[in-house]
Amino acid sequence: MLNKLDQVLWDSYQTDAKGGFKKIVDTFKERIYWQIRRMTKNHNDSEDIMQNVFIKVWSGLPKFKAQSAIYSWIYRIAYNETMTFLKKESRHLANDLDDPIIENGLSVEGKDYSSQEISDILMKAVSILPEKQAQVFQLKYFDDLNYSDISDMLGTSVGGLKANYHIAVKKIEEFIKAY
Amino acid sequence: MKKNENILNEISKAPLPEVPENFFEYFSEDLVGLLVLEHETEGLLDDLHLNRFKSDLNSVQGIDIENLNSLHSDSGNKLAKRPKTRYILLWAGAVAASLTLLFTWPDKTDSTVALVENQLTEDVILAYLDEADLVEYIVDFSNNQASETEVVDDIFYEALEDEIYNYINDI
Repeated sequence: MLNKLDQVLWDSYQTDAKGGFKKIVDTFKERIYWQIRRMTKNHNDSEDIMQNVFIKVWSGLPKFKAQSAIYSWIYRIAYNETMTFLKKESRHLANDLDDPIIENGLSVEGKDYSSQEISDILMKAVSILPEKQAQVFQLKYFDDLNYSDISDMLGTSVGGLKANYHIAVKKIEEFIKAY
Repeated sequence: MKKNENILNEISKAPLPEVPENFFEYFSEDLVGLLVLEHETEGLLDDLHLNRFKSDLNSVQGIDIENLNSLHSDSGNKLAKRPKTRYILLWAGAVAASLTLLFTWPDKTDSTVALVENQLTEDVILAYLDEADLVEYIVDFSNNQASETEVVDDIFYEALEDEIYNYINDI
């Protein structure tokens, strides 16, 4: 069963495929863009990947069975497309890449990490989380959404989201300590 | 151990990196235009009238696809990079159209050869004979000409002799 947001988007798509698709793109494009960009660390690659992601969304919409939220489905496509891209393409030169996502360095268990290092470790930790926890963490920590908005997007209760986020944070911190 | 229990509380997120101006605003329009272009490209091989193809592209959904690049570059400081897939599709369509024209071009080879052969006259052939062959040809031709005359004469005289013989015998 579709959550509130997805129902609106789905009804719009059923009425007018192109117009409905454009609404879906407009609703999720920024979230998906930043998800991709945190992994690629540059705009041009992110733009290309995002285009491919939404072309796949367009192709897949007629077969979409609403077994997950629309955002979760697009998030998964974006993650897979980005991973495929990163495995295929040679990395850009260091001066092409974005600055680290974390501003400051950190000392953990006696080890000092620079901002670049702690950023890389954090992204690695997120990548090994179960998908739902990774989504909730990205939306809450990186995108600063409140639980109510995330609940509308994913169709999960606020209580469930809080539990997901708490577990995700614990796992990430353990990963960083053990790194 | 309280230290490092809340690691995430000890780190600060950096500000978001720059995004080209109006990138998000134009993204969905560009995308819809690209999807329309892909749909049009699927029918390219069925329609070799490239001019019609160009005008259809320009008229789709009011989006001036050929000028999309200029629309983006006109909007101030743009780092805009046009999607690669659009150019790849246009290139593929142009190559496919060229190949189709090449393989369906009418083959005039046989008629050209026939035309050339028909235009070769005896004089042209004789011009390329060497002297010995030419002499032989003339001799043969003269002999052939003579023998034809002799054959006619022979037939005439034979006929005449028969009549004279018959006349004499009848008398």
